[in-house]
Amino acid sequence: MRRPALALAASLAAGLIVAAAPQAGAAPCCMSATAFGTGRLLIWEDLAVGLRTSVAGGLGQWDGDGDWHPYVGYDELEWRSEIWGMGALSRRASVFARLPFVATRRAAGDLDGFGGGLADVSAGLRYELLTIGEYVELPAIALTLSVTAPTGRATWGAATPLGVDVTGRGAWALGAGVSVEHTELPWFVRFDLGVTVPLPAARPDLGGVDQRFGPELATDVAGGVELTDGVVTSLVARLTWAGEIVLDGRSVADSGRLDVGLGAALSWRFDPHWTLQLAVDTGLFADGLGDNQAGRVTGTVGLRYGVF
Amino acid sequence: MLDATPRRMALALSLLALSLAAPACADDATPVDTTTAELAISATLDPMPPTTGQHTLTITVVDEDGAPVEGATVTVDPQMTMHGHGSSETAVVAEDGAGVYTAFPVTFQMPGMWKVSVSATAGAMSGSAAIDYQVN
Repeated sequence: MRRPALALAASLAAGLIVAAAPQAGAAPCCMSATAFGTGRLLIWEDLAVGLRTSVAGGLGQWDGDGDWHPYVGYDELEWRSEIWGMGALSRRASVFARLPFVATRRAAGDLDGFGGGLADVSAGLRYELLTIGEYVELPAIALTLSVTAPTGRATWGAATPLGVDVTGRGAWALGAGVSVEHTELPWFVRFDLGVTVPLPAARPDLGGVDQRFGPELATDVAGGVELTDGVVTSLVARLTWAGEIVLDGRSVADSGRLDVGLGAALSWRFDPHWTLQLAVDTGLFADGLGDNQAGRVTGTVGLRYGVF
Repeated sequence: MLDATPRRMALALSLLALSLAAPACADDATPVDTTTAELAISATLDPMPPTTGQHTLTITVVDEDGAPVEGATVTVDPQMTMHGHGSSETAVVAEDGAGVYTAFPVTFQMPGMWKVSVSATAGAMSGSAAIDYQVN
């Protein structure tokens, strides 16, 4: 790959890290565990680490019929900070891990609570079938496998009235994803598709019966452009669908979820090793554009350091 | 295609029957699903309409003859079934006498649809009820 193309690819990849960041758009108990997370990392980096912080404000919720209900007399704000890292195993393969922390503030009536802690950590393997620029006529393709561990505190472990100390779902989850990216300098377009399958987990508050969250399908399409050297901006449209919860062998009616949204990201590679990332994401707060899901606006700031 | 109309009518009637039989969101204190008839349970939530936070559930338990049942073991379990979790607090039930029991705190820690299951056991008799609340 020619060096300018390499630099652009690195910039694009850095920009996409934010664009494909996991949404903080759900309460910790209900948050998604998509296969994405560290975005596109170029494998010639031997090591990359980053810190990403999101703040998500809840504006309302979609009920099980898809009707939008703005919050009235209820405030919710969620901070999510995540330390992540990746290491290259070979030219095409890399491993990654995410160590997230979640803090939530909720206020309703006379109650006002703030709490948080370690959330559900995840790790995975990424393999590039085709790297950026490997074949001019073909897009880059990467596969991802991941596992999420229930290291956060589930609702049944909560000790606060508003559940602000809930930081996890309480279940293991396996994920698989594919990312396809096509570049036409200085433009690029990217498509992500991921499937997450939560494993059954015992519900201690229900006498230990098994519960399995529904499988989740997450997809997004992003397009962007390098504005100047090292500065990349992108827009993303996303859709997340989750199947119904199965409790004690029976599906829970209306427990499936749907969430669509739009986002924008800006990445500034101000140093060969350092990249600053900014992103915003919002749901589309209207009837029919969500289902059984909280609606939030999320802002993200990230800093990334790569060693190569 | 010739039998499409009867099929559609049958489908429509089935949907109508289902809609009539399906539990509705309670905007009052009426249980929508009494699963046994040995003990009848009625409940009143305060405040109403429910909002995010703590509530008091006043429960009345009567037998098949309508007589108040004292000394029953009553449990209350709020669940956000559509999200796959329960309440962040456990309600404590106290007996007030004359078949009336009070549960507090009945906590809804976030807005949305909640189902509150109430069960009562007195000797060989038992009863249960489930009430749906749209919490704002």
